[in-house]
Amino acid sequence: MGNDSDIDLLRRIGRGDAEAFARLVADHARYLYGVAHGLVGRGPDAEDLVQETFLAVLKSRFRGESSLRTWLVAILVRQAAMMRRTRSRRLSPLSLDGAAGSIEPVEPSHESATDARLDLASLLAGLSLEHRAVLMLREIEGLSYDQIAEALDLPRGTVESRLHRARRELRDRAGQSERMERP
Amino acid sequence: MNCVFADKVEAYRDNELSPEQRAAFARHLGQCADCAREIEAFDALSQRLRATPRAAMPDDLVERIIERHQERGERGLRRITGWMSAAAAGVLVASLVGWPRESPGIAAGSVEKVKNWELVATNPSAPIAAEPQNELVQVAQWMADGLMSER
Repeated sequence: MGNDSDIDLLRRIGRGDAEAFARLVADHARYLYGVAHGLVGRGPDAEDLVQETFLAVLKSRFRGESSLRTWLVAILVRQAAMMRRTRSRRLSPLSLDGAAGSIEPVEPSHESATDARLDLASLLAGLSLEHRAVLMLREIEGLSYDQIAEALDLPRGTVESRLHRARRELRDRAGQSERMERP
Repeated sequence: MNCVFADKVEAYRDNELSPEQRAAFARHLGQCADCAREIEAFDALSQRLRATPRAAMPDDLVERIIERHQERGERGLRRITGWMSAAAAGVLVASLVGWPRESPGIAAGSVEKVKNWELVATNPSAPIAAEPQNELVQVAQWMADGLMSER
């Protein structure tokens, strides 16, 4: 839940307090960048996503029902979805379901290709944004089902089913990858 | 996996079961190799995900976000100032255009009234068709009539 100092900080930002905005960015940018990287991959996309998230804070309203960090993640995930929609319109008529609607695949790192080690990026590559988001928030960020539901604005049941499908898919991909690596 | 508890495996791992459900599943887990294997597989996957180093944020990203915020704020301020200047100019132009008509001293209708008053006072028999009768003209007419009758 949001505490008084978070609410006060956001009020100050709303009044145009540049120092308060700088503090918010300093406190949360690194964390959000980690989430953004998991969702859209390394590089300019993740940076853009974090930038847009902080700028969107100025237009969003924090009701204090979740922690400030969960609220920021919610904004980031919405921005990622907007980014995906914009690209879908601009680049190609992609379908709205599953993997076809995802942002460009995350590039596997060199280490994973050469050392046969599966890292986060290569495992998550190719999953839809929806699946990547629930997996990231649960497995990496440790959010509860209720917190994920709040962040993604989904019913709790949808979070559970989406998480289940995402894990199955990830396991399948990991299994396939391991079979391919065997001599 | 055909176990009746299969749909509880993930919720158990995620610590999302009620205390009673959790206790019941834990008892079941001691007797079900399938569920135990399933949990082991999910745990392994989870560990691999968590073991991956987090992406390092570019050092200057915080600075760039703050700069962009400031630029946007300045742009917004300039836009508001521009709108206010345009609005002020509009009000000024409207005032200048509307002012002579509003001034009672030189309004066209008043000039007509004065003309009619003079006409009636000096020549009571002259027609004043265009201008509807007003108090001033009526008084002038009455005074002229009075003077004429005294002759």
